[in-house]
Formats: sequence, C-alpha cells, structure tokens
Amino acid sequence: MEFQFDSMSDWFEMAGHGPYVWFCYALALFVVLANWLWVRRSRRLFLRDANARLIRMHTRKSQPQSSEQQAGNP
Amino acid sequence: MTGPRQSALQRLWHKLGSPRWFYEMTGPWVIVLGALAVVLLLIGTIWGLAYAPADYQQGNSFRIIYVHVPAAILTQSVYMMMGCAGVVLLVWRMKLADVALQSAVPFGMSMAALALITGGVWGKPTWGAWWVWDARTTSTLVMFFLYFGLFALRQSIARPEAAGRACAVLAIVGLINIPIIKYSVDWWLTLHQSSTFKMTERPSMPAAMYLPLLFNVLGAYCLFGALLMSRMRLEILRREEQTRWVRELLYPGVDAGFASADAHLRAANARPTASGPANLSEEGR
Repeated sequence: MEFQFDSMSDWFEMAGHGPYVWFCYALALFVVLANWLWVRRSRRLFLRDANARLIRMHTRKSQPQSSEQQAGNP
Repeated sequence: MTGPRQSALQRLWHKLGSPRWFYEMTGPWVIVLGALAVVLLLIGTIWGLAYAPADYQQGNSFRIIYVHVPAAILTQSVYMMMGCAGVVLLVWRMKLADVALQSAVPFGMSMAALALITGGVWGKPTWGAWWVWDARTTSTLVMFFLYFGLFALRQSIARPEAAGRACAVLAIVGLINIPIIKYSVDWWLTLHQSSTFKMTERPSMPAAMYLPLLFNVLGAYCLFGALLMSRMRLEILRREEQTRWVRELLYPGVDAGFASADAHLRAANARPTASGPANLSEEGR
C-alpha cells in the first residue's frame, strides 16, 4: 500500500478530478458535523427550556393559591 | 406488567418498550459507537482518498465511491429500520418504536441527499451529465421525498399519537421502494454499475479498492447508531418531561425541594394547600 500521488499538489489536482472528489468529501464532512451539532444544540435548548418550564410551572402553582387566599379572607 | 407467568422473553420485550430503560442503557453506547465511527471513517476516508489505486477507466473520480456508496447504503438501511419500527408501532403499540421512527428521519434524509448530490458530482466526469433519469437515481430521489414526507407529516399532525400512526403507515408503504432501488440495476438497463458487495459472491473489486469502502460503510452504520441513540434519548426526555424519573434525572432532589418550599409556604400561611408538590410528582404516573 503506497501513496498514489507524486506530490501534494498532484493529490489536490487528481488529474483534473480534484474539484469533484474534494467537493464530495467536504460535503460528507459537513453533513456528518451538521447532524452531530444539530443533536447537541437541540439537547442544550431543550434542557434550557425544560428548566424554565419547571420554574414557571411551580410559580404558577403557588401564585393562584395566594390570590385565592386573599379572595377568601376579605 | 411482570407476572410470574410471563416468560423471560416477554419481560425483555416489555423492557425494550420502556423509554426509561432505554435511556439508562444507551448512555455509554452513544460514546462507544461514536468513537468507533470516527476511527472507522478516518481509516476508510484516508485510505480511499490517498492510498487506494485509481480506477483504470474512471481515474480518480472513482474515489467518490467511498462517500457515495456508504450514503446510499445507509439511506436504504435507515428506511428499512423505519419500516420495521412502523410495524412494531402499529402491531404492538410500542412507544419506543415511534421514538425510533421519528429520530431516524433526519439522518436518513441527509444520507439520501448526500447520495444524490455526490452521485451527480460523480456523474459529471463519468457519464457526462449532472443528472440522469436512470432507474436507480430516480428511485433514490423518490426515497428522499418519502423522508421529506415523513418529516412534514410529523409536523402537520398536532396529536402525537395520530402523527405517529400516520408516519408508521407511510414508512411501511414506502418500503416498496427498497427492492426497486436494489434491483433496478438488474431489471432495467441503467448507467449504474452493479453492486460491489454481494451476499453470495466475492466483491467485484480488488481488495485495495473495496476494503476502504468496507471501513466507510461500517463506520457509517456506527455513526447512524450513535446519532440515532442520542436523538432518541433527547426525544424520550421531551416526551417524558413530566414524569418523575426524568425530573429526578434532570434536577435531582427537585421534588423534595419543592415539597419543603411548599411546606414552608403552608406553615407561613397556616393553611393546608390542595394542590402542592405531592400532586406535581403524582402526575408522572
């Protein structure tokens, strides 16, 4: 098994096929990274929103009670 | 659920259907499969780009095979997996199957797009055209639209259960496309070459050419496994957000904290509250 090209520039050139080949590999890298980063980002956003929902839910649960109490004690 | 009369197999089946069990099991798997994917894909890609011999007819454009074929194989495998998940969802009503079906769509769709685009870029220097309405290309395009349909269908139905069933039906119906893609190169006269790997025969290429392809295909499967699991884990958290185990997982001790906070409030008001943290944690079944 040996390196198939004479030089680095020869490798990038690929006898005229370079742009086609390198574009495909770059696109594949982009697709893989995008998939990965998308999951990471969704997870981070979910955790942030879940935290906010939890706090909101608890404050909403405790607030009507106090207004109810005020209504009950004229 | 787990009576003494149930067999071990039935218990395993129930376990497999449990989102919580899945979540707790798959944490390490994401890392192991992800690392394996990185290693396999790096080996396959470097080997394919620099060390595999050029094709005697196609020259170096042949190196696109190491991207194009794994993407095409994966998009079909992902679709088959979704079809199976659809059957499991419709027959056994397993919630986890719906989670799997939903989580597989983005990766499958991006692989279909990658296969189509790299196919076009490979076609230009080899066939002389960016796009050819040949049987395999067209049926892969249909599959891309099926993925897109699954994605759109999920967004357009408000009730999650109805959306899940509709997607399951679409995934199953779309399975008809798989044999069309697979055998299109044998049934019709097309420009595509026949498969490199066959179940019963030796690969139709020398080892120096097909080994990097094998590495990339296996790496792509590992990548799919890792991405699918991490997506499913997130979707499980989303769907089970109100259950006790997720709350305890995300915010350890939060229910106890709310309970003591409410007890404090109760003591301050000297009046028992009807709805407190006890109800809050009861909501989670």
